[in-house]
Amino acid sequence: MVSTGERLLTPDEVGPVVEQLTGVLRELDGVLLGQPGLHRMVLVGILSRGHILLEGMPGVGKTAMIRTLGQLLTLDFNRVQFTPDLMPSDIVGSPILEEQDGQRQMVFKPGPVFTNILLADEINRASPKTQSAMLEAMQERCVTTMGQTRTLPSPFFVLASQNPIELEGTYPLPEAQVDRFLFKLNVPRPSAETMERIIDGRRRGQEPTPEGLVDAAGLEQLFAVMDRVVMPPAVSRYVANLVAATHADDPRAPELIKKYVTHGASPRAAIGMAEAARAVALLNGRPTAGFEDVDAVAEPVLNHRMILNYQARFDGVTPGDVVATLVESIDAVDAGLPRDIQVEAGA
Amino acid sequence: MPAADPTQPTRSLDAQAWLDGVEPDGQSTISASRASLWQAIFIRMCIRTAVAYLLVWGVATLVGRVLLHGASASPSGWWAWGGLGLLGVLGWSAWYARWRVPSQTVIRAMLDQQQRLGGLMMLDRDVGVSAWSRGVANVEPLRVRWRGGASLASFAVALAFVLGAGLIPVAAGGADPTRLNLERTLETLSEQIAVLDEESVLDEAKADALRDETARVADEASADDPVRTWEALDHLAEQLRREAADAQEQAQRDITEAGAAGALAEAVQLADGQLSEAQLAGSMDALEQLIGEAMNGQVPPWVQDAMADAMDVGLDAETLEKLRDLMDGREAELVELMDALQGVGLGHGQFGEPVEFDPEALKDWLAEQGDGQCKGGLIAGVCKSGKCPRRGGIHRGPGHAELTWKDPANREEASFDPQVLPPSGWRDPSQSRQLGVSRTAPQVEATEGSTGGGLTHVTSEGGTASDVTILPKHRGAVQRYFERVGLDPDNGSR
Repeated sequence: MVSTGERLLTPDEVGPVVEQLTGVLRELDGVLLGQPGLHRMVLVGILSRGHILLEGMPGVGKTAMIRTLGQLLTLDFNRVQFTPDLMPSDIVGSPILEEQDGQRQMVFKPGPVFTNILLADEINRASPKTQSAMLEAMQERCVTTMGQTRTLPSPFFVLASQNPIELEGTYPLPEAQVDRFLFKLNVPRPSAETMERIIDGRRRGQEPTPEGLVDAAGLEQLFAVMDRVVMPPAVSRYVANLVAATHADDPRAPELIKKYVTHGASPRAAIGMAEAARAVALLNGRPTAGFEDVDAVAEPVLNHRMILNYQARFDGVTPGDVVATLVESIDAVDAGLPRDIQVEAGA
Repeated sequence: MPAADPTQPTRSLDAQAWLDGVEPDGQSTISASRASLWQAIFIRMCIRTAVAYLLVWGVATLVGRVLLHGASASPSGWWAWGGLGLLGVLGWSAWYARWRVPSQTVIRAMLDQQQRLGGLMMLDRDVGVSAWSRGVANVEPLRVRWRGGASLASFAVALAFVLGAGLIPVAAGGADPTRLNLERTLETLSEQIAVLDEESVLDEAKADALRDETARVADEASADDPVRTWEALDHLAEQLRREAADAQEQAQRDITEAGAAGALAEAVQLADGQLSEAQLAGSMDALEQLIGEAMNGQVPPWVQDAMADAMDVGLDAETLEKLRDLMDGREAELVELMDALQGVGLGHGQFGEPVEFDPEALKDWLAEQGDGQCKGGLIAGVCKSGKCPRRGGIHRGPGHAELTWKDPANREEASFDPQVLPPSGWRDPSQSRQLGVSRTAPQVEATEGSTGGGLTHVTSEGGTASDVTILPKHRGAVQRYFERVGLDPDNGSR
């Protein structure tokens, strides 16, 4: 059994947090119709202090959702439209020569990365050099120019979007950068009913402007509560087993992975999955993360971290299929029972 | 495990408040779940271990029966010891299940996973989990299911194997490659010795010696040198056969002598005073001799007394009747002996034709003998042969002569051996000779003989008709046929 060394979160402590987060979700659902699951996972990503890669067709509301989230959280929000000629300095900033008090000196002009929420729109249109400029910012939350390292504001999130259908003139994100995104979320197109509500309620696509619900200080308090969410060792072991089994050479890996996966997920994925599972537990009003919380975040955490071979493309196997098979095949509680003894929930 | 829907909370926080009396950490649920798991593992291991044990037991039973008990059924002790082994199986399974059953921590994790408790079941009480106890209230114990169809089927097969190994007769033999299977032969020899001993064919010492010899051969029998063993056994069997043949021959003679004695006694009884004194004395001598030979010298004392008195006063009818009964009894004894020898495979059938006695003829023959010819030995010999010699004459000839068959007649002069004749020859076309080549039909002179054709100078003697295509070159031959000598040109007949 778990002994955390400190007192567990009480219902009185968890209750207001859940209420606050539920309010944010409600506002998001009101602005961007028909995407409650996506909003929930984005909020989980924010609580986990992770970066999110949104992939979806143009016009499904990716930018609107991120902008609304920035407004709800009353955080600084910058948007960069990535283009092939975008330079690293256009993002991180650059020193310029300025005359001040009769003296000329190099003064650093911060780029758009110095914000709380950075929307990197169509990130795969920038050249790899420019994409790589964000590596340090995303992982270390600081940038280094002219030999000087500058810390980014806290909190700092990158919410990037990319268009999956246009391949011409795009540069696929390198694995190192993809791995820095906690989630890769697919933004589905809304249903016909949802589109009808959008048409009836919004002329010319104008969304309502939400009120800010959580400021930066409030968000830090949320993070502090998040830190106290407990993950039992059995759940940690399950997370570790899941991530280890994404590698084809792992004995626990299912046949689908051995056949189609060339590279599995990194330890960073395990860390991110554990954090995300804690966030899901907090959203559900619990002080502990359980197996089902891990299952809930396994797909968005792992789907962009596993590199499939060409055979998978030919056979139409998607990363989602692989993750679903993985979650189904790994025994969450490694009880060591014989295969022919099965345990079910009591009546 | 199915992926959870992140949009749906697993346990609502707005549930009812913690109920008093509910166990905060679900200890009883954990214990019940653990007991169920122990039970399933125990039964599973019991069945699997029992299958292995039963197979070993069955094989051991088969080997044991072949080596120790032959084809006889397994003793009850064997079943009892084997059954005790099943107790060991139970003990081992109980220990294994206790060792293998998951710990309480793992059980907590399983309960948490199965009932989607969100990790609350895995927390320690001292971290303040009591505030969340309603989350683990009403947790049901785990339901354990064992899919052991294959194991149960294997158990049934193994059980049937053990029962079959213990109950089905197994042919003994061949278990020890260095031993010879002599049981049946030795059993036969022992039976034969016993019969010969019982019937006094063998004396006690000789029978014991033969038994010892048989036992020694059995002990020294080895598959490494089977010839030696079989030779020794053949020697023993031959010895017994010889003894039995001698005994049977003697018995056959004794039967004849007993029959002859009985017939003589009846003949004397039939004569009833018609015999002269000399004839009677000779008959008594013969009777005494025949009785002595039939009884192998072991004549009862009353017979000796009766025979001694007979010289003076003769034999009365009652004594003669007793003598006949004695001989009949002796004959029956000897027949029994022959049957006993036949029963153990030592019979050799009849030694010669059985003698048929005719007391009436014997009486007449005795009455015809002159006083000087009435010798005991002569009368005994006539009695044993069963034929009374005649004096000769037309109607007193030597009797019918037996037909004898000699060698079969030689067939050499009576029949002919078939001979294969060469096949009839057809004229080979390859041997024909070309006379010439012409564009038109060949011109053949009717008066000239043709070198070709099979009908030259041939006269018809009947034969079969045949359709043959007449080619132009055959025209001459056909013409000659109808113009041949002796044929009437008017009507085509000769």
